[in-house]
Amino acid sequence: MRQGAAETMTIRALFIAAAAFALPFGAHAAPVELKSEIFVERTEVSDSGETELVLAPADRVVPGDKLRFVISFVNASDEEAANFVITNPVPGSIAYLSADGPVTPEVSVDGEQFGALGDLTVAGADGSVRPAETADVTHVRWAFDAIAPNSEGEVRYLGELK
Amino acid sequence: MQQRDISRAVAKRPGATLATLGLFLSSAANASTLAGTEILNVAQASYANAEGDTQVIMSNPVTITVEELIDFVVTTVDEDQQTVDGGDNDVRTQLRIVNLGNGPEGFAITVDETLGDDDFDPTVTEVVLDTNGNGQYDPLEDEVYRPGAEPELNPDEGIDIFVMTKVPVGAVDRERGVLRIDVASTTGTGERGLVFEDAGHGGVDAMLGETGGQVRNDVTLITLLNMPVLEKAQLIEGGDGSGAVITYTLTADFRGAAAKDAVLSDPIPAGTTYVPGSLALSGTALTDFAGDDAGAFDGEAIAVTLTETTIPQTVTFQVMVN
Repeated sequence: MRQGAAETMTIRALFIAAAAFALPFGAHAAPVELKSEIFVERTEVSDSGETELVLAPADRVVPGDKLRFVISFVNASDEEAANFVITNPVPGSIAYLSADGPVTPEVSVDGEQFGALGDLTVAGADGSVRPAETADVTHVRWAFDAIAPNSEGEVRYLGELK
Repeated sequence: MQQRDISRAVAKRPGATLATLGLFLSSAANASTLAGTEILNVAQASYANAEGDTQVIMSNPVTITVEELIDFVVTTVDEDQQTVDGGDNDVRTQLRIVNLGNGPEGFAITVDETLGDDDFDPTVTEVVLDTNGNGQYDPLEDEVYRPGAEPELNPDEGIDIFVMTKVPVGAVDRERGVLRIDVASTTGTGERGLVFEDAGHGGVDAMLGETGGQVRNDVTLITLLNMPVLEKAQLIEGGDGSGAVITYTLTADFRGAAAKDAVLSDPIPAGTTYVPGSLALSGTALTDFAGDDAGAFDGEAIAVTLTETTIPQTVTFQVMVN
């Protein structure tokens, strides 16, 4: 028996970790690689009494937890990767909340048509159509014009464990 | 009481499994992801290489397992305050437990009737589970709760419990007796976020939610001795022999309740004669004829239909000693 969230990692520490992982990729033959990670957002009160958002390894999650999915990419080649599009299906137990990245994320409620959430609609069983909500999102994607040679970056989305 | 206990002993099935409990599904089903569910995330990317060929790559799969969250509510089905009579030996307090967590959980029930800041201690006779799930107390079907055989509820399931108590005979009007009813997760209790490793459904960890694995309800039993009280007084004027007039005053007190269609009747004592026109209800004169107002004299007895009010009422009439 012990308290949860024993090990935590601050957001800043996360970025350091993300940058560090480029090294193994560089030694690899694959020119472009993706890496998926999941963290859990926890609110902690610091010694000075301030509330801060902390990202912890998602080694113990329960319904209601907010999970941050981080997809890192690296182009270790000397060539540009053009029309680079990352697509992430949202797992069924996750209620999508938001996404961000170097390019504006697009979402989909059917895995086929992507766009801004406000431009999407959902058809009900009776044929009526309503505006899509975050809870309807099934996929999120980020479309880059190109990824420069020997570069890296990451995109993120946030969801709540249902 | 005796017969009921015997009946229940026969109906009780010691080997009954939890599956036989008549549980109901909460209407507030929250569809939490079940404990032990694995969540898999894989991202995919496509791009065009220098030759213009489309390449598709996948990320590593990341899997996390959902742990068990212990979360539940316990609410009183009726009121947090119950009115009882002194000496009442069949007081029933109904509560409802609903499992809001994401795994099956057992619930231990304890009742403390010995709190110090009340007027009397109810006696807890037993705690009964609403085994058949109909929300009603059925002595022949519902099983008595026993520590060690706690009810187990699946996510979003609920069950009612009946705490059976007796009120001491000596309790007087408007006294309070508090029942402290604690329901606790059989996995454990503690601070929110406390983790019980491997104690969850299927061996996952179990974590205490908002309630810390324990919910307390204090239910107050209030004696309201609402048995109607009828008092009769007499005033004798003009000696104590023949020709003396006796004024009877009947006071009806329903103890804060408003009795509907209550009729107060009183026969004229032997050896006396009713004084015509002497009948009155709370100071208002009534005729002796039936049907025209609330009162009547039929030759043998007076009868007055009381007003539906919580205020004590008096009926007066006179007789003359023959």
